[in-house]
Amino acid sequence: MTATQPQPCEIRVGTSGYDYPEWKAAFYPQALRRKDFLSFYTQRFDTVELNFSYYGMPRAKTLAELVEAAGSGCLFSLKGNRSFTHEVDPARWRESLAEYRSALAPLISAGRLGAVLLQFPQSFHYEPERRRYLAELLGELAELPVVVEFRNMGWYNNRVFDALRERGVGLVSLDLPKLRGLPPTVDLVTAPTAYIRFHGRNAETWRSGDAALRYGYLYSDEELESWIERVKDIAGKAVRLLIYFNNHFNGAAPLNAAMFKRLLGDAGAGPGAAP
Amino acid sequence: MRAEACVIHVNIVGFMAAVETLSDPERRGKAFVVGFPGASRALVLDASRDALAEGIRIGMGLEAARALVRGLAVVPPSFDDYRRANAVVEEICARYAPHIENDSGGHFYLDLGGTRRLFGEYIDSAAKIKNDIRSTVGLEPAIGLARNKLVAKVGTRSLRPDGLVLVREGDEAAFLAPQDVELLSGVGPKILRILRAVGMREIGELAGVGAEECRALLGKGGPELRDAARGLDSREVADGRLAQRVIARELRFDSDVLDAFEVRAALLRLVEESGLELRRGAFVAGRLSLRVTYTDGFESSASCACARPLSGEAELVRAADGLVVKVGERRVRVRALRFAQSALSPSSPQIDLFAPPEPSKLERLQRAVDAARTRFGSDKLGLCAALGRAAYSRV
Repeated sequence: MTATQPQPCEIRVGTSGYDYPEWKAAFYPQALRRKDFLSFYTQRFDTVELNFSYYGMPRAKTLAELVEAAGSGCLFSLKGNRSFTHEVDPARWRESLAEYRSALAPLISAGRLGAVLLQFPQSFHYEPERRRYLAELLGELAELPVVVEFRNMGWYNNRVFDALRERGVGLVSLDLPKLRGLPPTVDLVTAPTAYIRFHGRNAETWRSGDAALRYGYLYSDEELESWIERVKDIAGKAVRLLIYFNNHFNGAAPLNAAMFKRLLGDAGAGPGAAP
Repeated sequence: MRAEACVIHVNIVGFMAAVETLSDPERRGKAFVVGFPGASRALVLDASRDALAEGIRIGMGLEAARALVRGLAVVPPSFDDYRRANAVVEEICARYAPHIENDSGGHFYLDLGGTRRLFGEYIDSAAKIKNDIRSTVGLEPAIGLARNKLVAKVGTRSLRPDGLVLVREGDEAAFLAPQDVELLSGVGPKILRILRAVGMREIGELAGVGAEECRALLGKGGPELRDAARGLDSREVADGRLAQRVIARELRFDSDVLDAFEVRAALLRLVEESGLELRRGAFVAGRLSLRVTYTDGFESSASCACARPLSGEAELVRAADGLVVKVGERRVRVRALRFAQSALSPSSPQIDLFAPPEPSKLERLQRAVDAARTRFGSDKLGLCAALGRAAYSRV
């Protein structure tokens, strides 16, 4: 008996969002103009998760400009719009989705789409109507690399895992505070594109309702090191692994993303390396 | 139940088929089953993922499996390979876990309690174990980490065939609630039929039933199963490496014996008793051995690897008789006998906790005999051939 060689996995590390003036000093030079943020960012990271598409419907022109500004090689992951994740209007979501999809064209044609992230809130319960809705939504996005993040524990069950595998939809692995009622820690590769999100570990302020308190967290070297083996495990089965830091307050996200890239490199599992 | 989530279940799904694929990579991506192709009433012992995808299920008859997949490949089990792979996985687990319960067949429970200072967070150790098993053996385990064995096992079953899950302290019942009820240990085909008949499909539905209703529905074991559905499990990780465990019985004649009939009668009593312990533990034995001590102090031993693991009394007796032949005949009085069963593995991957599947006539007889021996004592019901006159004492 011999162990099989793992498939090489493309690992990319970045942040959730890049357009934060508050990152000046911590990450961006003080004198850097805002329009040059992305160019500066992509000299350090080769992927970014765009969150503005959650709050407002993205436009193809905007995304084309981002592709242009980012230079070659940067992959964009795009958060799903709230009109089909958080504030679903049964009469209008298909229309919203069509608009969203058409906006992705520049990313797709340039080969720069990392994944579409569908993040569902705690209030998105595992119940028949929502299961049917999710099946339809995923069906509409079938040809795209899609990953889902559930905040409600009810979705973490064997039927959902099987359904994600069948559809080739990724399940996001999460780093969260250790709090009862939050989703279990699950590393499960259900699609060629795997996805990890670091949300910080502010247990005391997670449910405060204040985003700054929730996501204002700087991971220590030790905390990130402990992820190395899990990244190796996930990378052993995925074709592409996208890792994003969402602890964006005070510039913690780019600091942690850089730390994590270094740690992965030291462990021989760095971006571009086979696990 | 531990105070923190430090109990791991390592579950190498489709262990036999996975080892067979490692032995012959040509099998990768093909539908095949593991079984004894020539045996009467032959069953599917294990099946490749592709065979499972075709609707083949472990425990179904080989003929039924062949009816589902034309030209289905049937691979005879390579128990030595399984034991070797199992032993390597156990060694990997032992690097991180002070307490290991080896249930064989690719199932291990580990208690990592107290190892955080040595190896970091428990989930880090879980990931290391997973990666080490993949890189060393080439097998892909599912790993569940929870406060008890029950929840960790449901975790690995929910992920099947592989993945990693940590169920946080206090979230056990919430995690179990949406899982399919058949993922719960103790829910086999019969109980599942009952639960389905009353519309229960998820573990949480069973968890919400009152004790009396559970008893009415599932019998006296119902409330226990209901508690399991709530994530309650007080079982410790039983420190024991199954492959190294031996079930043995030994006796010494009060007066050395020359009569072969008397020696065989005593040996059969050892077979009866050790076999009862084997079956009560729901194990099968892959190896048997016999040691004969003669009046002159000379010892003669013989052992055999079973072509397939055994547990039934009739087959154990046949094997013991074979060992007597291997030991060879000496015209010298016999002083002592030792009969041992080793290379143990679980007898069945999943049986109903309270309602076992339909057994054959011989199996039903064996169960009735075992039940009587358990209730009244193992010397109250036995084989005629075990009724000797020679007196002996236990060692």
